Amino acid sequence: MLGYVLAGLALGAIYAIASASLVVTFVSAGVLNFSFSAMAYTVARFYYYLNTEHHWGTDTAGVVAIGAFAPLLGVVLYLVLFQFLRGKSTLTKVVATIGLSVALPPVADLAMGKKEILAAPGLANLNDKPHKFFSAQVTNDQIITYVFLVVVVALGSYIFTRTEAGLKVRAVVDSEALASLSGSNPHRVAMGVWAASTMLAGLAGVLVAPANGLNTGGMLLLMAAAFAPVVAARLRSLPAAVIIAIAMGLVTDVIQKWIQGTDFAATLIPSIPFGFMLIALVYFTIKAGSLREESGARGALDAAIKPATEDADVAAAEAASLRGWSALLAGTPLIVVALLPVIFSGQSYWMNLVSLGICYSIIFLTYTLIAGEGGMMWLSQITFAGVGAMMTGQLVTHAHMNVLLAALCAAGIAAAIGSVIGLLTVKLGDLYIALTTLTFGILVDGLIFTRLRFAQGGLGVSVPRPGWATTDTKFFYLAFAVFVVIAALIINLRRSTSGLALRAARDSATASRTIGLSVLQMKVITGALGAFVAAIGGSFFAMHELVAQPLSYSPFLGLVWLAVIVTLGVRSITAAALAGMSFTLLPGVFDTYVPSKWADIPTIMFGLGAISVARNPEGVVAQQGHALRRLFGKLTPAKPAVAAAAQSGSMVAASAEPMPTTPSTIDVSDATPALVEQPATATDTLRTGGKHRKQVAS
Amino acid sequence: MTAASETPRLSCEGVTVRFGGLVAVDQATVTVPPGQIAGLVGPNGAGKSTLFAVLSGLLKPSEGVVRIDGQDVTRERPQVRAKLGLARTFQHPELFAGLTVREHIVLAHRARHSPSRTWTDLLTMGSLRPQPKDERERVDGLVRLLGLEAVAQRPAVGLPLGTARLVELGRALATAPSVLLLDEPSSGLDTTETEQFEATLQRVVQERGTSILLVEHDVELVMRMCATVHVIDFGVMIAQGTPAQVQSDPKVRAAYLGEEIAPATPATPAKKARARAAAKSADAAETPAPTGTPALVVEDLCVRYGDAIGLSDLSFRLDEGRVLAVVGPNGAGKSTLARALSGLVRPASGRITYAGQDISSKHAHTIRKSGLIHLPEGRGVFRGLTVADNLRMAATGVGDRAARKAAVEKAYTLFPVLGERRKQMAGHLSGGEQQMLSLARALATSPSIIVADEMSLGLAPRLVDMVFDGLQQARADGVTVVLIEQFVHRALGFADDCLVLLHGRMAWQGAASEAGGDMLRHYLGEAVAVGA
Repeated sequence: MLGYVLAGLALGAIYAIASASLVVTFVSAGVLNFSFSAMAYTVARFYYYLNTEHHWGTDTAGVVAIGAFAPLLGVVLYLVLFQFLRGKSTLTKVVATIGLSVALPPVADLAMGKKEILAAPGLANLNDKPHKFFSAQVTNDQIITYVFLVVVVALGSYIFTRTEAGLKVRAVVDSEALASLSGSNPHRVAMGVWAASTMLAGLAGVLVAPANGLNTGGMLLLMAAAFAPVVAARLRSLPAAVIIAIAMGLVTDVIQKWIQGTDFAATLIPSIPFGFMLIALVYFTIKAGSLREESGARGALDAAIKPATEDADVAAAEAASLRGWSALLAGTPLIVVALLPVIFSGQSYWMNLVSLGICYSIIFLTYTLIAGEGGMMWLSQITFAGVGAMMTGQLVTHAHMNVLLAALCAAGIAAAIGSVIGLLTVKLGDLYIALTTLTFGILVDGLIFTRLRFAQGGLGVSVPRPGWATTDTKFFYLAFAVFVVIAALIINLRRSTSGLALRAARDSATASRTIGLSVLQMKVITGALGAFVAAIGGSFFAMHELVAQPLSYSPFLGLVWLAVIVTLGVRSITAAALAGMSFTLLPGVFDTYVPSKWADIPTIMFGLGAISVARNPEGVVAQQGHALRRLFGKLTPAKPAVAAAAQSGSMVAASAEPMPTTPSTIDVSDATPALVEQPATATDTLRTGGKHRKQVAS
Repeated sequence: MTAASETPRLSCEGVTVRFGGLVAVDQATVTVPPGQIAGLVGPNGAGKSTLFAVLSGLLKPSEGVVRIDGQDVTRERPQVRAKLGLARTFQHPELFAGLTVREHIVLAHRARHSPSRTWTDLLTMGSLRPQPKDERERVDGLVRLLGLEAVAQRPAVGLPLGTARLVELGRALATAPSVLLLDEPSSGLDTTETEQFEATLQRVVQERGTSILLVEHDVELVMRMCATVHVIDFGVMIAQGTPAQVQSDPKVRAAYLGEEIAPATPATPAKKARARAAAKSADAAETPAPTGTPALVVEDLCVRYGDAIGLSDLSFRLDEGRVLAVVGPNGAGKSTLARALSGLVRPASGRITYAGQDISSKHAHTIRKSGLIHLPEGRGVFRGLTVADNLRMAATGVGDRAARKAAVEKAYTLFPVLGERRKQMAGHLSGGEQQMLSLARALATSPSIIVADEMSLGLAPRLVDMVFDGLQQARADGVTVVLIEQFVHRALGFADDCLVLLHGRMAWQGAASEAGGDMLRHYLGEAVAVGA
């Protein structure tokens, strides 16, 4: 028993260090750091580079990697990314940090060499023998972990409570504006916080690598597990996060005493942290009625001087419908996609990628619905795709159903689950929704998809293509037709009352309620539709691969999917089509024509694309649309603002002139408005007669 | 008039709202009669927005009843109240950024008249269905009524504030409300826009018979438009009646001007003439001739929050060691001026010179280090830090370690009670003690200028005395003071110079001793000014 406790304490200590890093950045910078895993991996990889590949001693390598490289990495990331996230919406912060989590590990691999690392070193020597402690054994790695936790807690407490640097951090956390008025530079404080946070991430990464493996998957598991105590501590309480993390580690290891070796253990143990998170979420929601991440944060002065829509400077709004040459231009990429089988005729490798790409395109439409139309950050869309694939496989195999009918039924099941999640998360803030849906995905992945019925010992369940569409070309056109039908339904949604209400609820839930709209209804509808589309896409993916394989639907892979679609444009149907194609064809190009060393470049590109959401929430397709609009604008002069305005002499007419957009300047992309921050609620925070307003992109 | 028609469109009785131990609204009663505009006014922090949130269903009251057309809706959600005929606008327009102007009105119309379309359109390819003639006519009618034709197809993002307020009004009217709640509709608008908005509202009432409850900081606008006015202060309704009754109520004038208001004297033709002359001179106010060394020079200062005007073309000069009182109604731009001086908000244009240096583009922490201290409105303390840490934080910008320690000790000497509570969280101190701490944070570090924003807000008279004693101490040390204050007479009695702001512009400036009579006019309108 003691052995389990000692191991649990070590695991808890690593969770605690990781949680501390996450809490510190959230409290001080308002960013729940989804790139924690990438930071941890990069530092641990650098430690491996020094220690194993260049034979530096564990102490020297540890000091350089954790004590010097990690803080430097934090400072650099602050300068290139995190400082631009100040004041941005939760959605933007989540997406940008996910982008970093996708881009940073391959950059590290590119710099230090990509290799499969089977045994990662800890901070102890590999040859160190374990020590006897009463009836149990304790390793040097475990002892070092305990020591580091004590040092982190003691040193952290000392710095926070006894030093001027700590005082400044606490002051900035309390009120950034007031700290400025006291003579502190909040930027410098934030940079220091990111340096310290990255150091903790690196330390956790080095400590966990021997157990979880020195790979992105292992680090992602650490991050996801560390989210649980952070959520249980309401994102803000450092002592609570540390204590809960240690408890979680203890429970995870101690429980193994009774269930180790059983089938159940393999699925239950990795899910324990997420069980903690789920319990915390349910508890807080029941207790408080709602759970939103911004409540209680910062002071009134900060609220008064904070522009309400800092994202909106890049958020040009477009009309939901396209007309004339705009519609033609928006549809052109789709026509090109439709012609790809002709272009790649007779080239089976490329044709396979193209037909796979259109399956991804269908899946990516779920993000168009959920994030683009609904403004919701769900990280479980890949799980719904998995549900679609698994259920299709089950219905085909066990009920002998036609595969297309099975896909439809599976999508119906996913839609029901999606609507329930929409219902359950209506009282949650954006960040909690992201975490809840990620937790849901991880739990389904760990507890359900691993069941023998679905996993079949790793082989998965076979899913045939329809008999009349077995070739890649025919299957492509079938999938393309499905894509077009779903796209048409989305366009109908956008242009209908439902779409108007959806966007209204997204932009201002408060104002929506005051005109009689039900935000709950909108969230349920969005969740159901999003899950439906994801499941259809997942089924087609399985049909393409001829198997429903649970490993293809890992929630962490979903983060990469999100980065891909955000890069191209999360609000555009055209972008969804192109994202699917890019996701398969770009790696194909690199595999075929570029040395294998550069194979991760597409991943880096997608990650960087998602990071750029901090500057350009619209994505590449909409950006190019703007460029084309300008080009065509020169060829076809824009109509002047309606003349009646000038004649009426009304307030609107007087104010209409300086506005940069006119009805004739609709974007050629079919994008709906960008990820704009929700307007400030009607409070009297600014009593000076001023009004924080949205800016329009020039 | 029948009994039914006398039932108020909207009313609340005995509404109390508590946030923890704080009573934000206490036993408030408001009535909005059919086809009339009722006003709700009060100083900063009086509880207007809280009461408004209760009326619209966004906040549940701790006690009291809210009725729409006599029906108890106290526990009903905003959606239900909307169906019963209640609509509202917001102080900061809550537009749907992704919708065009026309779509705002269409959606609101459908939400009221065909609510099931929000989901049936999905299944019935609603986007292909032509717009019903009746709906099109009503929507077009509203667009015309509000003069929104020019921007009807334009997305709401980026609309100028005046237009945004019209769109909100259109959205509210599209739900065919019987009663309309308007929250600070003139906030951020210039004079012309305010007049146009006022005309539109009058048309709405005349043509549609809609009742309106108007929360507004522009008291003159309220007095012009409303049949009845309710006045709230510290969460308590202190007056109710016709504009004339309210304007002459001593409690109302005390709430706006402080407790030391001079007793009203009968109006005489000579006084009326003086008031008119003062008003005329306000428009052409000039900076008094400089006499000493300038501590602060502000030239053509403009601050904007997006489209909204914070400050416009403000110029003044303040000499070393003098006290400038900055007064004006809610929304006049007083706090914006304080924030611009301390670097919290960046001026759109203009120049601020402090100690001979242009500080208009400097960061707040740099300005603070050079000796200009801003004590912000609403208790300028770190609520999550102890008293000792608050003082240590204030001293971080001061010299070496010994100097910092000395600064903290000085604060304890100035305000011994803070020494006794050094380990207590600032957020747990009383309001007066928090202001004491805020003042101590400034005085202990030997500033050259203090910008004090509404330090007496929400304090009992005894504590207000204490705040002014502290400022007097600073003044005695030669500190220059910019004093933003709601208690006008108190401020004028303390200050050397006075600056009156109105709608972000300078309305009057001169010696504080000459400011008295004009203040009433700027706060409560011509009628009171001459009445006084």
